[in-house]
Formats: sequence, C-alpha cells, structure tokens
Amino acid sequence: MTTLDITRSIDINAPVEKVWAAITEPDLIAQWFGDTCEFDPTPGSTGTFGWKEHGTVRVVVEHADRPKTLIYRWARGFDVDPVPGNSTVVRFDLAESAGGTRLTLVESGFEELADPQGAHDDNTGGWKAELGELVEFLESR
Amino acid sequence: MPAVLSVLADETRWRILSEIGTADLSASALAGRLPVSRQAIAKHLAVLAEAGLVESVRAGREIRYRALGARLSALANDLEAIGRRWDRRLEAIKRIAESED
Repeated sequence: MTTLDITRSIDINAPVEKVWAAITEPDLIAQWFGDTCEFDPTPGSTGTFGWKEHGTVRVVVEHADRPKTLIYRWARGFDVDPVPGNSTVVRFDLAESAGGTRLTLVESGFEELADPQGAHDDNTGGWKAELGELVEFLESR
Repeated sequence: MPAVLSVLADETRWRILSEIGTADLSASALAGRLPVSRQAIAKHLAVLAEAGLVESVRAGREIRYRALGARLSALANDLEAIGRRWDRRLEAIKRIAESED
C-alpha cells in the first residue's frame, strides 16, 4: 500500500456470490465496464475490456479466490499486454456484512507508471490549497 | 526526469512536501521536524527538485526549500478522476448485484 493507492468501499444488499458474479462474469462486467468483455477468473488467464468507440484494453488475472478476492492487472493503454510500467493492479475484496456484502476496491501501481502528465509548469501559486486538496482527497478514501 | 508518481510514493518525501507546503524550510529545519538525518533529507530534496516538485530559495545565509504546486495539482486531479470513475463503477456493480435474477 502506498499513499497513491485508490481505495473505495461500497455496501451491497446482495449475497457475496452474486457480487462475485457481477465482477467476474463477462456479460455482467460489460454492464458496468466498457461495452464488451472477455474474462475468466482463473490466475494467469488473459482477457479484454472493450469500448466500441475507443479500443480494447488487455487484462491478466493475478489471483482469484472465489468468492472473496479477485486481483487483476490491466493496461492503461489500448492493445498492449499489461506489465509493470504500463498498467495498474485492481483488487476486489468481498466480505459478508450484515446480511449483505461489503465490496472493497484498491487500485495500485500508479507509482510504477511513466509520468502521466509529462508537462512542466512553473505555476507556484496556490500550492498550499492544492496540497490540502490532495491530502483531503487521499485521506477521504 | 523521474516520474512524479514514483517520487511521491515515498513516505519521507511525502512528509517533506507536506512540511514545506506550509512554509519554506531549510534542510536542517526539516531534519528537526522529521525522524530522518539531514543527509537523507538532502537526498530526498534533490529527488523532489529533479521531479519539479520543489525549488530552493536563498533567505539570507540559508537555503530554504519551497514546494511547487502545478504538477502535484495535475496528479491530484488525475487520481481524483480515477477515483470518481470507480465510484460510478461500484454503484453500477451494486445495482447489478441487487437486481432480481
């Protein structure tokens, strides 16, 4: 875990197995992510997330422990195999909670990416406010 | 030019940036506030400067360091946008899982 990880949680009023299906079955994934999907929740398997108007992103399953944990690495560009430096790692953890499921998502590996901005800017104003916003954002996750 | 993200993925550099985001400080002053030697602070400051995140300014006989915001701001915007996309996706996953078969 680093300060740059993105972490989100959501409580879902559905059994763990049903949430697992939503994040692992291609026809269900395509309802919340992209337009087309090939996916098999087996470690080492490769898949794709596709957007009709943009292209296809490749994904490699790193870990799958039904119905608790799913980890995959997905490329941040189209039509490239995901390897450290061009991709991030998405982890889903599912836990039973009060008759439903708590889904926790962590996306990590941003620090491995080449600089996404690449821009130089000499603007020195407002740094404090900007840092405050960043810290607030990071702490609110 | 090291990637800004890898530069920021270090806890000590993060704390240095937080400190000098509040006020310009010398390496010695930073060493007094953080549990790190002055030599280590100097190395971290060099990395931060190379990434365009800090600059040095002369204050009398002292060299102080100042945080530069634009790149960090761009990074914060990127991470926030990625987080917002996940918020929307998780809401969709919730709807799908809660729907009747």
